[in-house]
Amino acid sequence: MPAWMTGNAIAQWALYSALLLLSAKPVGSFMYRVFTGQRTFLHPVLRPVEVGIYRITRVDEEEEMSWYIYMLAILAFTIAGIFITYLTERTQQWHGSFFNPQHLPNVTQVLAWNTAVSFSTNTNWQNYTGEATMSYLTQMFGLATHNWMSATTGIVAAVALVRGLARRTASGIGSFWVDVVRCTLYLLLPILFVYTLFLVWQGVPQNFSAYTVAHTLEGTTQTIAQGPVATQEAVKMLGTNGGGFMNANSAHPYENPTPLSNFVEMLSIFLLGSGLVYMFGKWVGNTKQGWTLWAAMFVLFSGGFFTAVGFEQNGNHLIASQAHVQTVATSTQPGGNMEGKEVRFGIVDSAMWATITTDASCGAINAWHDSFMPLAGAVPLVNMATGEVIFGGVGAGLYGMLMYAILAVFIAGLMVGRTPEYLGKKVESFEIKMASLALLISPANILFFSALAVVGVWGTAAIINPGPHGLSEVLYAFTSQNANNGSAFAGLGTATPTLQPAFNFYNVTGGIAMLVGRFLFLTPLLAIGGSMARKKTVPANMGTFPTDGPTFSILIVAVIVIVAALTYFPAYSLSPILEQLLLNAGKTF
Amino acid sequence: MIDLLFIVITVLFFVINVAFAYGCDELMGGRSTR
Repeated sequence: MPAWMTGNAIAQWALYSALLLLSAKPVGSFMYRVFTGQRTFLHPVLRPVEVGIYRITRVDEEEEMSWYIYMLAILAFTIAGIFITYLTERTQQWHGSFFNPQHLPNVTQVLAWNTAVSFSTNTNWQNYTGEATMSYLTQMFGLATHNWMSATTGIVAAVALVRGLARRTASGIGSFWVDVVRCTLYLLLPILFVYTLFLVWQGVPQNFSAYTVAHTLEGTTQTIAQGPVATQEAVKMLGTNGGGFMNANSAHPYENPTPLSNFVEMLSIFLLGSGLVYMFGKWVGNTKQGWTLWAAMFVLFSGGFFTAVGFEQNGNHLIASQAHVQTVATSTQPGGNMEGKEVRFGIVDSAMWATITTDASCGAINAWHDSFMPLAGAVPLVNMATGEVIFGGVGAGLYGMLMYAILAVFIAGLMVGRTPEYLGKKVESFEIKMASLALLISPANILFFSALAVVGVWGTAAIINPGPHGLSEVLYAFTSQNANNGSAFAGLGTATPTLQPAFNFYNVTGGIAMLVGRFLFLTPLLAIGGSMARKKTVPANMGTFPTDGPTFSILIVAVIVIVAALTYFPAYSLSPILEQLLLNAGKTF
Repeated sequence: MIDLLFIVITVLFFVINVAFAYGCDELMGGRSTR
């Protein structure tokens, strides 16, 4: 066994995987009941509330929307959210002493827009220091509310696509408004209520106090932020949002106080994404279809984790060669590369968190990804570039994975010379065109804006590290924003006066990248749902390629890896790969 | 004035997205929009 494969790494991976596996069926079954309108144990309490909401909003519970109308509803819902958040940020100096006890000023226009788009698209890219920029009202009403709403939008989009795949000769894929209400009431509300109480028990604050000023032993003062943190933290993790109350995100002891909170927060990132995959299988009438996708996701997750932890545990050989520096793990210290890590979590928890948060579209961090070894830092980069389909962002992971599934059956069909089929329906030219469009939108978005950033002072002035590491910083920023992840590699300049134009460049282009990555990507996938819903099923025969077994899992993994390699290898060969080669030769950046 | 600029950018994106969705549906034969 290699030295880097520590008992801690194996034990945490095994425990995490076991709990994830055990949770998939109950969570997925519950989601299936919720979204098919069946009775759950919460109905005695919540059904009257649901009916009341429909009455007040005049929503017809039986309404069916075409995919196009469903998409318009998503867009309308989001644009309203962006404007409300923007207005909240731009007026926070008038929020009053209760909601703004630190008397923080209005957020500047470009930052307010970037943040409003960021939270409405489930990205939660944060180009600001939360506790020094946002009032309590902005944090709660503007940001935490959008953590709910954007998570809901992702989940219901996946549900609509699954409905489309499962239905036969139907013109509709459900009602967006009904799905939103059910998702919020039956799924998010009860879990988040319990989850918030758990976090408060662990030590996460939930108050409206002014910040505490502490007098240190050195005779200076330290301002300790307070606020309604727990409510935001819970949805930040479960909704795979990632936008922290504090600038240090989940490395901050007020967001992630204990080893238990760290483990539960990691588990909650995958909880709904994993359940959605099981729900998909149940909905299409063959749970093996779901488990096949689940297995592909699990293989990719495990590969990413052990790659990241391996490079981190091996550390930097240039540092290891220095006298009096211990980089080998012992019973009393973690060894490896500890730069940029919270000492409470060390290497395994940091590498595991980085893998999970970018497998999904979470983006919460508990370590500085910029300080990872070059190829360990490439793991989150690749995870995001492949569309975060490994359990994924709530909803977004499943609909991204279904895109790859359709491509995989198309490729399998080409191999055997038959019209591809998926779930008993023929996959025809329209579905392939739409899947190809979705596949091309992300790299076009990432590579166009990255190229734009590195050809002029508007982008390069903000890059802190030179050489290939600087290119990694730019690529990571646009990959993260396109994939609606929101984690930052760091290393791009902040709002200093000399860098103000560059800062504005990243805020504006980043905002556009987030919108494109969310909605232009989703549009063709919902179209696939609409198209598949109208089709008849054909019985399987000897020539049908089975999509419910390990062969299909392997094929999907291969398609994801090959597509990512073909698309991004040229860019990565100039960034993390080149950086690793130069590091081997003794040069650092 | 700058506030207005960002409102315009946002609305413009959503108009483009609606047109993109319409285009996708036209490829499907316009079954959802007619």
